[in-house]
Amino acid sequence: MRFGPYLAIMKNIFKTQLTYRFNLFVEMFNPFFTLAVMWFVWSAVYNSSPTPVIGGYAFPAMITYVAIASVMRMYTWLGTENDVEQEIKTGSIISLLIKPISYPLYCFSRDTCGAGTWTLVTRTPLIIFAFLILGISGPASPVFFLSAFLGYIVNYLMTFLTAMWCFWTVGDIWGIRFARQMVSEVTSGAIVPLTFFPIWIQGVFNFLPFQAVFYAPLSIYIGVTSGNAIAGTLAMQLGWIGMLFALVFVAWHFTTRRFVVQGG
Amino acid sequence: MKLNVQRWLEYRANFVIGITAIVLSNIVTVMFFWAVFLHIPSLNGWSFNQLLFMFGFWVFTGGIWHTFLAECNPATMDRYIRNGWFDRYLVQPIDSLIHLSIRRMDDDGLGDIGTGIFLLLYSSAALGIAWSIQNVLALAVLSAGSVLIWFSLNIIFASTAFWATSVRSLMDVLWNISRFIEYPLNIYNPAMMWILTYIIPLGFVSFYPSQYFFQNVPWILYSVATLPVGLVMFALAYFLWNKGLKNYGSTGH
Repeated sequence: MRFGPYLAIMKNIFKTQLTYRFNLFVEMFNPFFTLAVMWFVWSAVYNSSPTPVIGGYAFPAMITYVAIASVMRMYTWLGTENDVEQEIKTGSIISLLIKPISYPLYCFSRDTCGAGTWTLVTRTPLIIFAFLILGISGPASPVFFLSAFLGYIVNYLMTFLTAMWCFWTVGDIWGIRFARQMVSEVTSGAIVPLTFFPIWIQGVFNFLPFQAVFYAPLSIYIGVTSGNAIAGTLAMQLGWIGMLFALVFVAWHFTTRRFVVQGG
Repeated sequence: MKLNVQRWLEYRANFVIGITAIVLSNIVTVMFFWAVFLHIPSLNGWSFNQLLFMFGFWVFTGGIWHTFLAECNPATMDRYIRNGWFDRYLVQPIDSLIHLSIRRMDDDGLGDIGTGIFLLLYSSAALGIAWSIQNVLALAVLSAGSVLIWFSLNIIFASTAFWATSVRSLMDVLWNISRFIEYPLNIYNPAMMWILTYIIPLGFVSFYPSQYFFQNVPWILYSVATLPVGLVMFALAYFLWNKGLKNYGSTGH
């Protein structure tokens, strides 16, 4: 009985598994670096502050904010644009468009499953650490989860809008995607609660959909938005979903028409 | 170089978008600083402009690395070795490390260099730091040290590709630890400060060099050590790279 080839195969599988596990491991502990930096930064900020409450947030609330935002950000780094770009480049988009299922819905279910699983798997250590060691508090209201989901949909619709750009341009979509993410970082409250900004800037941000993705659910989580104000926030999120959905619907209509006419 | 310029013209749209994206990402950090400083007079004794200076210094030297030396990184090495493209460099007369590092000029990095220079000029004006011959020379020497340190860290992480099969996730690790450079070193606890000075000398990438310009007596001595630290790091990185090279060559991946 020759074990040689089987040993080689097992060694290969072990190596692949190890690689996969290594990448997973790294991804699980990456957010800890940023969290550590933010912990020190905010500690220094509150130490340097004349008041214990800044922008409506006390230090424990801020740490909770940063930790939860860190988890939430995971599901916004969707690969939708890259996937769409790949499918167009390889041509597999054609078979996907011919199928009776809706392509946007297909993308949505694929990406949501992916983002959801990936977030759950890679952010669990962080969540456990944050609750047990950092002592962050739980959500002030369970409505947070609904709001977070609505925020996710807002983000997804914006991502898909950018992804559709792939159909219209030959070049790299990287730039536009990166730009959108950067604008989102600041205006969505992912980095710092929007209440830190001057009132007039907050006013501008409130007109953008980005705050519906992070700041809206986060403010519910911390309890800054509470009681009746929660309903208002949810309504605002739904409003953005409606508007963006209409945009996507119209844009998709024009995109498929142009695409079909051009013959791919 | 000439071919590079031609490529620039062809992909001008992508060039502009890329630069804008880089500039935007730096603006994001600056906006964070700005929003925070609306509520505090200083951060552990550091003013907004001092933070801008230190951040600008890092963006500037990081930009130099990004533009000219960035090809030697975990993600690229991972791809090269797995696809077998790396073997090409082994038969060239030029040292493989140098050849890989300068293989391609990343024009996006110019966004960093530009932003860095802007931040340095703006903050130095606000802080009353004059760009005398002495200061300009100091900038050159300190920047060289800073670039060497970041370059070396990338080489060290990239070298792991010689031994392990998939190391591209280390790219994210590098990006994450670079976040430590964005803030003054004394916001960290003493243990962390020690690690960032003597183990992974990220403190010398921006914090310590900047002290020279601030004329901050306690730390100014450290700023002088920037270039030596850079050279030591590079020697370490080069040694590791060659070790990996030998291992790679002998096992004949």
